[in-house]
Amino acid sequence: MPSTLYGIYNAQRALSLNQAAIDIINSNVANMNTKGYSKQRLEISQASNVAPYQSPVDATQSGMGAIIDSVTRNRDVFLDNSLRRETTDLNYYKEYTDNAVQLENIVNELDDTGLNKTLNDFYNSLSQLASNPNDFVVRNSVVQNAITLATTFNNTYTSLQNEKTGLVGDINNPDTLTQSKLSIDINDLNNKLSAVANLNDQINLSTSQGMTPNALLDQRDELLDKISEYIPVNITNERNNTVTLSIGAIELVRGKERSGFFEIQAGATNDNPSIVQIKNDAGSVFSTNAYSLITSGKIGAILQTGGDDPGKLTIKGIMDSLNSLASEFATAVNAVQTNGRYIDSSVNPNELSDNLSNPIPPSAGTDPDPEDFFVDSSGLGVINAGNISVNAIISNDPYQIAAAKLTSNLTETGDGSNALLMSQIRNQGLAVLGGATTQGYITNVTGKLGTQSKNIQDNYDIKSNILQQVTQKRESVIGVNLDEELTDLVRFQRSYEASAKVMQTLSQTLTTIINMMG
Amino acid sequence: MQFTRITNRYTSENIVNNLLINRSKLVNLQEQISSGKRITKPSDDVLAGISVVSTNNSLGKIENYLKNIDNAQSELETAETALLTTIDSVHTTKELTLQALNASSGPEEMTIINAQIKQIIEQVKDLGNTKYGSKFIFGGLQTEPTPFTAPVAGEIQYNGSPDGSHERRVEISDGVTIPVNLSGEAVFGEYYTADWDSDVMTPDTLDGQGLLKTLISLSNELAMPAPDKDFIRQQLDSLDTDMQTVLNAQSELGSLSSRLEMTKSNLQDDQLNLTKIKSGAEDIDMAKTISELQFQQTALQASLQVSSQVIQPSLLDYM
Repeated sequence: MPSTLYGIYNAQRALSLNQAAIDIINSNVANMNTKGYSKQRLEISQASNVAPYQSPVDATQSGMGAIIDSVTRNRDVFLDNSLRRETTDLNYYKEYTDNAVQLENIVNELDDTGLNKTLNDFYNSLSQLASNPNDFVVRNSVVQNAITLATTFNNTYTSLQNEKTGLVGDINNPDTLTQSKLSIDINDLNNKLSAVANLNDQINLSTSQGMTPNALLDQRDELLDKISEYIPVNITNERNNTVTLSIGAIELVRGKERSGFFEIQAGATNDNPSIVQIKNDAGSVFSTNAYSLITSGKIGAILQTGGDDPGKLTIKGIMDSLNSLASEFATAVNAVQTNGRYIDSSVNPNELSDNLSNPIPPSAGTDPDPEDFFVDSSGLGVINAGNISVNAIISNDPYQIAAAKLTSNLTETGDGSNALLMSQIRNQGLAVLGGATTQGYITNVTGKLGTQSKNIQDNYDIKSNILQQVTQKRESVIGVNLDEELTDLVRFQRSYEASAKVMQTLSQTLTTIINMMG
Repeated sequence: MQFTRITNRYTSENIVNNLLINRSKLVNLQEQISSGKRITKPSDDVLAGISVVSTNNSLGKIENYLKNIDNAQSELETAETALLTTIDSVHTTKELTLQALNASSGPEEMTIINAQIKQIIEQVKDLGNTKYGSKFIFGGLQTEPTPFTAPVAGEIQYNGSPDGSHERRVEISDGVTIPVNLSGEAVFGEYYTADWDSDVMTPDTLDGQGLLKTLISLSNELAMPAPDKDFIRQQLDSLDTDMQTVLNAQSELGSLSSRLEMTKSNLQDDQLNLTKIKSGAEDIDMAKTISELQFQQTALQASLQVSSQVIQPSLLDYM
């Protein structure tokens, strides 16, 4: 036989249980729009009627009411994992798309300002020069077009270099290594790894004390979602609700320890200015170059765009193409230029430069042999897209363009056959450019860049759709549905009222007995 | 029946996503319409992008070739006019020569005829020095110093590039060049006292060939107190040969002109075709794009309307 007041205890327990249920509804409704919040549920079960303070004989008769088992989160680990995998891929393609589109904008050959257009203008003005070798205005327009062409090469190259420096830095300027996008993202990532380790610690503590730290778990899930944006990370659930994070076989977080973090080392060459290592606080290096581990995520895309992988769309690849073009073009033009005769404007009437027979320069300071048309402004010794420039001797005196052929007579200043040869370089296939003409090569580079960029953008679109679906699926599990909460609210409110009624009835019953006694 | 648990975040995220997609499609179409271009970067349509770049190359070249052809045509026309006048001069000379051979012509007539022939010599020299722009067109590669000069009165020397290495060529299509000038030496000839100053053993002698040699020889003969009529008659034959040379030169010019004309019309056809290809690759179909824009606007409005209705109701409205 239970005690007299037993029913009142039961009713009181029911009241507080319903109160707790309403509190949870309160929290759910309040966090209806909070990102990362998982809907919480009160797990209620029938109270066991076997209690230590009761004799087993009495325990079979009536129920003992309800008790709270736990407050759980609506969560589906499978969905979480697939969402994180998709997040990693999506952010890889998102970052790559941004970079690819930026590269397409820099190497823009569809409008009227690209290399193609300036090359065209240069060749055309040479062709005009071939018909009018004496005409200073035509000579000057060749020089102006050559300068525009060289500047276009230089500007495109510089923009590409700046883009690369912004992504992964430049070893010649160590400050840029710490200010690069890669470096900022790596710092973020390291901080987030530390935060996960801290949360692991707190969660472990609460869980071992028998509590369910739902808010902390939500917080950590949100962090894990964020970390998945950066790198492809494996997440393993361990005991006491802690998680272990690893990339490849290298552990990043275990329990409360951040067992591995990322650090940038300056590369040996500017082809790969930033090398990402994985080490721990004690200084042990687990991976000297994590490039092959970070195959995806935002950081993966940055590493690939800024790296030198020939199979990928890289800034270096495009810069190399431009360098080959600039150097081949300059070599071809210079070869024709130095094999001709320019007009010596210091002689009156003008004569061709006497580079055949006359050992004395025609006038002080001028060399009888034609000077190179294009030179390297950096003194590097090799012409590339960054340093190609018009020889100052030619830009100061356009008559120095060797428009005439070597075999012309001194007075034959009307010979433009060498200029014609120079303009015909546009139709020549150049060996280093894979047999393509200069402009054909630009078409190839544009086409390759376009195809690679299109491919990345297509993948981005596909991944966006997939991620949207998975996100919605997860939202439908962890999110709050207002109708549901309101229904529950009504349910628990009624239950609360009923429990109160029970208590009132019990109280009246007792009153009846007490009054009878009195 | 299966159903998805629709949560509030689910609904709002879905709505926002759909609205974003609709809006970005709309903006994309608006950009296309305002720029008139279907592609702004190669990845928008790789094949079209490549075709735009390569047609730009070809169009740039064609533009240049057409400019070269126009220039060459004007230059050839100038040469043609000069040759026509030369032919007239030769005709006149022949008439004058026949007059000189006339039995009734005395020394006085000879002097008058000679004066006229001297005029013609001067005229032929000036024709040899015809300019196109600032270029002497009959000087070969030597377009600047005057090609025909008179070192001594009564003699005319050609200073330009020698016949055979006189051609100035322009490019009129890929890899095809065409000469735009004739050898002044071949057409007009020369006649002057060669100055063998390097070889004292050889006496300085009058030397030359072609029309100018004939004219000057004729003039010199007429200036003699008793001109040799046989010699003058011989010059008449030479004049016929010289005339033939000029006529040949004229027909050469004619064939060059017609070659230029033909190439020009081919290039213009190419230009038209390439412009069409380029336009097809990069320009939008206005009617199609505008109707797509209208369709997209309707879609956006519909999704806005539906969204506002979906967000509103909840159980709260009925409690």
